[in-house]
Amino acid sequence: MTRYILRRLLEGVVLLFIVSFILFALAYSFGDPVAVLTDGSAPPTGEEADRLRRALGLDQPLPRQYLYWLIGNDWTLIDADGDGDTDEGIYGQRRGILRGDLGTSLITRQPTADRIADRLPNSLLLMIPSYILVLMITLGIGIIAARRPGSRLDTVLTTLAQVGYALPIFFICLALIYVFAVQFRRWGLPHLPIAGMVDLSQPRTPGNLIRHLVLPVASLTIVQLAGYVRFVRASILDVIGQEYIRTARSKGLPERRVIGLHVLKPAALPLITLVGLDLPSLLGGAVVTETIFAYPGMGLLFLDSLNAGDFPVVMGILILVSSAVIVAQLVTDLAYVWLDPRVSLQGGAR
Amino acid sequence: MNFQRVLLKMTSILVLALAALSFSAAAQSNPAVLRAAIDQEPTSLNPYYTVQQAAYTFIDLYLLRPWLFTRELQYTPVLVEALPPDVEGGVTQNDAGQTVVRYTIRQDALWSDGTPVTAADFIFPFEVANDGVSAFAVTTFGAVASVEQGATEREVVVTFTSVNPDWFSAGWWPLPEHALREPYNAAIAADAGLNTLDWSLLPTIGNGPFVPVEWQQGSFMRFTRSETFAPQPYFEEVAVSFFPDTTVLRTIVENGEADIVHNFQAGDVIPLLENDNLVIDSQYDSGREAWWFNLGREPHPALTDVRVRRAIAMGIDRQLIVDELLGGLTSVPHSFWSDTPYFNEAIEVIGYDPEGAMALLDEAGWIDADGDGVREASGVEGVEDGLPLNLTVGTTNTPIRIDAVTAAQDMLGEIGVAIELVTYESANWATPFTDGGGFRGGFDDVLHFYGFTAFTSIRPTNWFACNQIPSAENPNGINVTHACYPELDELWNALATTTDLAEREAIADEIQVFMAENVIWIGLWNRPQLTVYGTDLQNVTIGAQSPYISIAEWTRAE
Repeated sequence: MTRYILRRLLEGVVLLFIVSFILFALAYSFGDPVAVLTDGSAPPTGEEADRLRRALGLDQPLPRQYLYWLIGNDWTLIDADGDGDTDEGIYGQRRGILRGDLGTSLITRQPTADRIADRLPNSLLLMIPSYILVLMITLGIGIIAARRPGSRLDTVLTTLAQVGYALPIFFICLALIYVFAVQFRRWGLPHLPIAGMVDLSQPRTPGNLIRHLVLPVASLTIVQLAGYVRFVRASILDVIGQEYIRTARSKGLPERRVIGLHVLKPAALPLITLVGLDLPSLLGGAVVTETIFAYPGMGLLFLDSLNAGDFPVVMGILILVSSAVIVAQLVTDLAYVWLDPRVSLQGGAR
Repeated sequence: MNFQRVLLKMTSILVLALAALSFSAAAQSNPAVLRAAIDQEPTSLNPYYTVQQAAYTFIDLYLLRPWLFTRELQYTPVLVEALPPDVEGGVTQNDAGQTVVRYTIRQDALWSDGTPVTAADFIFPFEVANDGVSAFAVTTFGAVASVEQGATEREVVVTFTSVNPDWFSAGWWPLPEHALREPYNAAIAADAGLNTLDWSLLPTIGNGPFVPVEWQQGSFMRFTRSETFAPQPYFEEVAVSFFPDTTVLRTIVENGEADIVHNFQAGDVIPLLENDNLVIDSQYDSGREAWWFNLGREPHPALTDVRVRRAIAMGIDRQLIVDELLGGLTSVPHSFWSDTPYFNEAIEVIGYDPEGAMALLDEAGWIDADGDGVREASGVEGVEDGLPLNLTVGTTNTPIRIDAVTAAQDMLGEIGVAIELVTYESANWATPFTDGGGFRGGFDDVLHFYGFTAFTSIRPTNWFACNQIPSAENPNGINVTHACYPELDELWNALATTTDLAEREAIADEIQVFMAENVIWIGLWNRPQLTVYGTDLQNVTIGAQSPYISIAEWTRAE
């Protein structure tokens, strides 16, 4: 087991190196951060643009920028005053990602790690409740489908889930805002806030926060639900057709025991793969939902940074999510082995 | 255990509890909190580390300058008793031919910790700008030779490197030297700059009516009333929230969840025009949206003929674009100084005249011989007969620009000029010449963008300077007409070195005549700076470039 984990981790590190270089090259090609810094439409004049580029280290060739990003530049002289020449006795201050330094934001001049640390809890606060709701509702619908496959209730629930899946997320967000924030207010009913994380003209209580979370969490839940429902429903129906289920029923076991004991556990196993693959997305946040609801999470940070050409932050987020994907895949594999004795780490079934 | 039932119960209880909690009536809003909203988050609250409009929107809440520009297009004293030109010896020229500006800070100008604002606070930013590591984003001090204390500790003496008619550029943001000196010196000792100080992230000592107290990035900023500012504002707090989606921003203000919203695009406020509960304040920001002809980098040969350029100007109903796409919230500029005291009323204003445009094109030898709706060259000197009059117009992917070019495309199509729209990502627009990009390195016949920030005075520009034509040798040049007009170049240079106001106005008049006669620039609309606020806010005056210039006087109706 230990050997397997070490091998997978080693593979993960190699994969991360490859991914990081590709992502760095892509992030580098997003455009000119200086043009964005100066609002783009009023292009900086020659000297100003050159000075800004030197000051931000953007005048260096791509491989060198990648090297500095990777191992830092505290071992080399730098051009601190931006005059085009390295300055005697002045070394860089970056330590590189391999030594835990994700760099500094080109826009806010804050450490990237701080920017991510500010936003990550917000994203988790948004994503985890929606994920829990998705899993609970999915299992509920799955059970109904299993008990009465093809029934009217099964058809209605799965169709509703499909409708949610078919609608684009921005439409769901705006529709929920329109109904529960705008129309409810016009009708004189208690209504939800349109966007933001708290209402600053009111005391900052948990209730204030939760009221702002309802619509974005609901949007995310609706859009994620259908995929899970389809998957779990198919899985349950698959299990329910197995001979051992017929045996359990013919033995006279109550239906709820058949479902709870013999159907749900094997049917939930494939769900682990789905959950394992989706878990890293918790760290990445939800770009569209966070943008529409002005929710300060990782998705909004990523989008803002991308638009601003702030690639230290973009790279920080991408590397964080990439690392999470690699770790989550390993954990998923291990969990699978642990839960299903038929699966072996050597590959294939025992 | 009945797992199924437990699961369903748990889900139901959770959903019902959340619904009950969230739909319960919210607490009463505090009327003494002014709720502002904007689509962009400031990149920095330290004015020396940003050039972003969103950041400048809020600076006057906490950091005042010696003078500000009013909506009447005049400077008004803020931290000084009187403007330098109004004081004897305020603006002079020394023996070395350098412009020297003197001003005295008001005695009652205080930082929020009670310390008086002094000359040291104006000298300090100049010192930081030149320390080699602080790397300011602005070029405020580019033309400044020295800054010194005058006869008193409240007198500031600024000496420019040469003649500088723009005395007002001597009035920058002071920094609280008494509070920043020590941490700054420590930072310098560690080869770090002003940007690494906590104050740069959250300037908790300011000299305005409010002081920043909290900034949750991506979400909001809070400013509380400064105890040392007189008169004390009605509002105890200004809370600024960031809403990146414009539809949501509009809904927020319509729904009464924000008191004041900044940075709207004109098209976005059109649905609010009929709302009686809202006031839409429009004034110029600093730019003018325009078409700039490419006259030097493989342009369409038709554009070398001024008659064709004039016909294009006559073929676009610019007032219709302003009315329909911008809700009539701005106006059409006819020169760089349109709608300012420096506009030359004598220049020819080109109006919408499609018939006249077609006649001009016929006269210039561009006729639609094959009847396909697009004119072709016919006997034009140096141009092969049959060359169609189709032009590419390059612009950024900003929706309003795309809409405007599309509208112009239809209008010009009516007079036989075909337009092809080419859009560029903002980040790829203004790249250096050597990297391509539409602005400097493209081959489009016309560029639609904005430029020139001149309405605050008769300022010189190098937008048309011969030495600013982008090239491999000059990759960041900004003369995107790619054409050199020595006569125009000379006029702009004269404007840069002439201090006498009457002479400057005469030069500006000549520039406007030259530009109008040669039609190398077609103004489409003055960029409006739009602020929307609720009618319950009273005594509100929005300043040009400084929305909060008068916030100390704002109140809220009961």
